[in-house]
Amino acid sequence: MSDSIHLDVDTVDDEFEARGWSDGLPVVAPTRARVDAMLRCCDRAPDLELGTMPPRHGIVTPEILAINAVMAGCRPEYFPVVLAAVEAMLEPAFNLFAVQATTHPCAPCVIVNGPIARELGINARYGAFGPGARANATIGRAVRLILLNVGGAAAGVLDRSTQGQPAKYAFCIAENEAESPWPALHVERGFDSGHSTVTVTGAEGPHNLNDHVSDRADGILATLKGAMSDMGSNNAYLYGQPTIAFGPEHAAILAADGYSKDDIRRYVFDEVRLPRALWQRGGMAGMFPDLFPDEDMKPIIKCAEDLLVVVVGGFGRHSCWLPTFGDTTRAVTRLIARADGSALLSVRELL
Amino acid sequence: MTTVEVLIPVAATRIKERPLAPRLTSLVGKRIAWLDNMKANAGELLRNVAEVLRTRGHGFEMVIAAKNATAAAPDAVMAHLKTCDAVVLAISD
Repeated sequence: MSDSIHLDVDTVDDEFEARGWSDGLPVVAPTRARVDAMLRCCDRAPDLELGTMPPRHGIVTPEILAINAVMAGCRPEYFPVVLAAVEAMLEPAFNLFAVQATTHPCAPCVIVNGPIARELGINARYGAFGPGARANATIGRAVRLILLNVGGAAAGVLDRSTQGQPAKYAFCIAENEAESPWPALHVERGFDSGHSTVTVTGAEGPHNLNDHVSDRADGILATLKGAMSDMGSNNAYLYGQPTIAFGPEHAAILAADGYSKDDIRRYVFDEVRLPRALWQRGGMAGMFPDLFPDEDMKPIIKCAEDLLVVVVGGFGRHSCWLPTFGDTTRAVTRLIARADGSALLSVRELL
Repeated sequence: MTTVEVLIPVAATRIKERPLAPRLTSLVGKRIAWLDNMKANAGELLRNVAEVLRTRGHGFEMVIAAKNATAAAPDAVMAHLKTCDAVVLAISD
């Protein structure tokens, strides 16, 4: 059972900020009643230990997650997504310690797939990465508050990110499966299309891929090649698993020209490369010399399979790519599940 | 004044205070590891510090080690370090 304090209702935000318990925005006061309501959408015991969260190694329990989810403004039915996101981040392959503590600006990007994304109204269309949808905003914010209050990632303390990034406030989207010509991300990663998942990547904010004129795949691919094969991102130096989030219009053009997600991955592996002479001029040259392959051009991914491809957004000729921290953080996908491990088909099953 | 009872959002930990290992009284004859985090200038800093100590008469066996700054040290590196009397770590960033 978590400890509590009594505060003047008019000073809750100031007190939480002063104690280092908030992200700087006003919070919903985590009263016992609100936290209990959140936990009604969780079939785990409130004090079940799910692990510890680095770098502070706070003990993760459904109750401490629910407190932070209340503060973020989550509706109780969002809680299974928050829980799955935390479970995914705690997988060793995600290397949360480094994602939290690095000077790089990465933040866990939460990508939700499956029917629960639609049930909760997680925005996958216009402005999915931006404001406007409570589910995206508050699930993403809950993850950040948990990283702060459980993981201890306060800026300049245990989060050493040189500049941070806006996505450290909230970074949650759904894939636009309805307007995608390709299999959904979770299906590609081995899950049933009728099940729901959360995928986390240690990502930078979205970098725009604007191509207004191409009506063939080669034009769109040339645009992304130009944007992605330059210095600056960690993937340019350290490989990793970046994501391309195609807008539905770009995706439709690529699919019409016969490109599958795997074809796009192979294109990126083969064509998005940095010449040795450029690589050696700056960046991290000399620090990890073994990472440059024998040939004269270095890819940004070690193999084609490492690229994540999703469809996100509404109409318009924009896509984006999300560079990541590098190869020492791997994308992790978790089923949104009941305590017994079976798939949760609808959050209504918990109500 | 109206008060409200709120739950504290900070998780408990089991982290106990870990005292520093006993300090070496002398480096002479000791096996000292110099652990480079592979970022720019870490190795140079370590080499310079080692050289300064050597010129001051602290004769020690020098063990060079490195770990990628973006991940925990692999078991093999940790096992190597455990063979040493002390480790000097340079965290460059």
